[in-house]
Order: sequence, then structure tokens, then C-alpha cells
Amino acid sequence: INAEYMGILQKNMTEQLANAISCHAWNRDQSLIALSPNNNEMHIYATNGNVSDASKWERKWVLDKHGGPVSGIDWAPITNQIVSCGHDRNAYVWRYDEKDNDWKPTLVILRINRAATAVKWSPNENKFAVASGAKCVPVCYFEASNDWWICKVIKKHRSTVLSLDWCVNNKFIVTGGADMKCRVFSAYLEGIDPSEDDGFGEVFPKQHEFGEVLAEFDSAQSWVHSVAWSPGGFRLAFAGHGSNVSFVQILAGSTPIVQTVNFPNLPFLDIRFLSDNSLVAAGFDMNPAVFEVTGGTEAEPFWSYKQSVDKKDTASSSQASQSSFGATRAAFSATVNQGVQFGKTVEESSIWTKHKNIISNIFVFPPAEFPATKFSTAGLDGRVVVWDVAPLALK
Amino acid sequence: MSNTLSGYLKAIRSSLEAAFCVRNFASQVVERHNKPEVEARMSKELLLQPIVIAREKGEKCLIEGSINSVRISIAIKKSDEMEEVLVDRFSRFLAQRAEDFVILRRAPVKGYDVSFLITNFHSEEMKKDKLIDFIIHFMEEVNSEISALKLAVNSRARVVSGTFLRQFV
Repeated sequence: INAEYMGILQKNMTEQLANAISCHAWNRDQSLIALSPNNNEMHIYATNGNVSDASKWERKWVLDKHGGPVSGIDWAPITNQIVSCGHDRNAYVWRYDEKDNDWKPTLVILRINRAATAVKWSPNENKFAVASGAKCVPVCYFEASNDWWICKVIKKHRSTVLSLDWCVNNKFIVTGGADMKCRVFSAYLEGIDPSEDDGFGEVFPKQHEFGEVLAEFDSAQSWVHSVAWSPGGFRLAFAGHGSNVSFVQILAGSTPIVQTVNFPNLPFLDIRFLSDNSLVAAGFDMNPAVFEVTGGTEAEPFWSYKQSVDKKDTASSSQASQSSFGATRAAFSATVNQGVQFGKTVEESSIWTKHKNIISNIFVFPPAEFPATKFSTAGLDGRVVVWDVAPLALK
Repeated sequence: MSNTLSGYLKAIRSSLEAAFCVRNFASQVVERHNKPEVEARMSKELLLQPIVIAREKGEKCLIEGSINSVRISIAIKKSDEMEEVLVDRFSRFLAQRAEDFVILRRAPVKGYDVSFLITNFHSEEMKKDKLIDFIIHFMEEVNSEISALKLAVNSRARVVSGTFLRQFV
């Protein structure tokens, strides 16, 4: 292939695994990744040791039990079970069968009559919660006597629940929805969760009443696309459609402190904590952004936007062809292959970020181990890009 | 003249960049359905405040957003009756071919001449900045298209009448 032609193609273009990816999850040692190519299938790829290079991944299983688009996938790191939920109102728990080298699904009856939008395992992996368009959140647990999953439903939402996350104590969940509120609920189940107080008794007196609203925040003033709970358990964050991220500090004995940080660009679709003091957010900007505690105290932190993770590669853009023939040929092939107006330089018209379409999903790994060393973003451009946390120099 | 046009288009472009932030959203009213909420309008909380950007009374743009779709309606300037007829013909020509156009709406919203409907499925297939470029380019060109059509009508009328009346000379 002509070297001058290659000069137009952006360097280090990540391999496209599908047309679009709606959700993804990694297993504990990043040897496998489960993702949904924005349809009713779930693909599991083996990374073969090359976590950063998607072109080396090998597709091992295609699981197509769902009757509609798969909207959420979560992988329990220790029990190695995958839970997936979709627009067909169902959730499946997949268990790996060593003998058959296949994943066996177990249908979970969620008792919802609208689509499921997101699913997360609890930290102890004995429960999972599903956010749904039926304005409720079923919390499912395994009943060993009947050998199936049953659910208890949290109501009290006014519109579709778009996102949820668990607290490290396995008892609380935070949800965000299209009714523009972020709420903290108790998902305590008698018999499954220990009844001793774990430090939250002073903060939330009704902590052991299932389905009780423990706190409600409306500072997003717009649809809450994503919510996250910090690894320490005393901080929350939620991202709204108004390009804002609100950080909540939970205090013992007084009302939680909320700080809203406004972001100058487009809104975020997913946020995750990288540690107690830092958070990564990604969405319509196609570029993950990092927020950090830059001041204040432990009890009253001050959060602000630190930097965007993807940096424009100035070196490759200045690589121009030497001869005029090569330059004309380059311009012509740009017109033919990329739809660029003839003569217009490629830098102006192409998207320089690694993701070419919005980022739908972030997954931080190693899962449930903090501070995180890497995180991966999956987007509607069909790419999964893995980012290192170390170069970001976070506290 | 072109000064106000570029300001007008710039305002539309930045509004579109914000309004195009749409995500997949299964209907919460009808089971197993996925409707563009800006068209269905069944849940008030899923709709954004519509904005009108107007250059003058007859030339404006309405942008209605929602959680999974955006509707953009354009009113083209019509300074006389001839232009009214031409704009009507032109927009009907486009609207009848709406299926091939993908993002065009078959009927324009009341009070406007052309309407586009863009859903999250379109933004998954097509690049957002290219879509916005297309709409801005469309708005730039439509005025010159109409004046070109008007000139063509006038010159054809002159030629036809001249040729017809020559037989009486």
C-alpha cells in the first residue's frame, strides 16, 4: 500500500468490532470481554493477553437468547456469572459450563412490563438490580431452595430509570432517571444481608427498610444519564443532560452536601469512580473527561474538571505528502473513501478522537479493586478503547 | 445580507449540536416499542423546550428536541406570490421523496416548509457533524435555489410569450 496514502489514515485507529456497541463488561483478569453489538446478541471475545489491541481479540461465543436489544451487561468478578438485560423485559444470568465450553442462561422473571435499561451486580454478587422503563427497579436474589432468581421491586420513580449503582455495603442502590432525580434506596433483603449496622445507621435511619427512599437529589435539573457510588461508600456522583456532574458527600448526622460541576461541552452518558477522589465521565463528546478533588477537606471536598483523556495527536497531522502528485492523489482518495470535499485537508473534516461516535459505556478494571489501573470505553462507533489511568497523574 | 445569514446559521449550528445528543430509549408507554419521543409526545418529561431561531418573520427555524429524537423545521423566506408557489412545489418535491432522504419528514410541521426528523438510530449510522453540516448547507442553498427557480420561471415566461406573440406581429 502506498505510504503516502497511509499518511491520511489516522494512526493507531482502533479496530471496529461491530457497527455500534451498546454495553460491555470484562471478567476479573481481563481475559474475556462480553459486549452487545447494539442488537439482541451478546458476543464474548477472548483478548489472548492483548487487552489494548482489539484487532488481536478472538470472538469465542455468540449468545442470542434475548428477544430484543441488549441494554445492559455486568460480569461478577468472583462468581464469574454474567447478567444481561434487554428491551425484551427479561434478564438472563449466564453461567459458564466447563464441560460444554458454553455459557448456560437462566431466565430471571423481572415482573416488569417495559424495557430494562441497565443492570448491576451487587458487590457481594448475591444480588443484582435492574433499571427499567416500567419506572421501577427489581432487585433479584437467588433462592437456593427453588434454584431460581426471584425479585423484589423498588417503586417510587416517576419515569424511566436510566442508570443505577450499588453501595459497597451491598445494601443501598443509587438510581437516576428521566424524571430528573437521583435517589438513594435501601435494597436490604432480610436473610441475604447482615443486619448489623455498618456505619450508615446514623446517616440513613431507615436503612433496613427495603424500597425506602433514603435521599433524593434534583440538582441535575435534567435527565440523569448515569449515577455512580464511590469505592469508599460515602460519595456519590450523577451526571445530567445539562452537561453537569453533581458530587454528593454523605455525612453522618447531617444532610448530604451536593456540589454541581458544569462541563463546557456536551453531556455525559456514563460516569465511574476511579478512586474516592477521582471520576471519569464520557458521553456525547467522544472523549472521556476526568474530574478530581482539587481542594476542600475530606468531609467537604471540592471537585473540578481536570482534563480530557484523549489528546489530539499533533505529530501525525503535520505529516504532509512531499510531491504534488502524491498530495493530489491523497486528496482524491480522501474524497473517494471518506467523503471529504475535494481539496479540503483531512484534519479539518475528520474526527480526531479515538472514538468516532458517542461513548455509551465505561468499564473500570480491575473490577471492584481500587484505585483502578485502567478503564475501557465502548462507543456507538463499534470500538472498545482501553485507557491507562497512570498517565493521568491522579491523586 | 450575508452577515445576518452567517449569524443565523451559526446560532442554528450550536443549537443543533446540543439538540443532537440523543440516546436509545425504549417507549415507556407501549411495551416493546421504540418510538421517536418528539413525534409520539406521550410523556412530557422526555421532551425538551422547543426553540425558534428567526432571522425575520418569514425565515425561521424550529428545533424540538427529546431524549431520543430531534425535529428540525425550516420556514423559507417567501417575498411574493411567485416564491410562495415555488417554495410549495420545491418542498413537496422533497417531501414526496422523503423515504430516500432518510432524515426528511413526509409532512412539514404546521407553519413551516421543510421538516427533518433525526432519531438515535440515524446518529448511530451517520456522523453527527456531517448531519449538522448537511442541514446548514441545505439552509444556505435553499434561498439561492428558490431565486434561481424564480429567475428561470421569469425568463421562460419571457421567451414563451415572445415566441407566442411573434405570430401576431
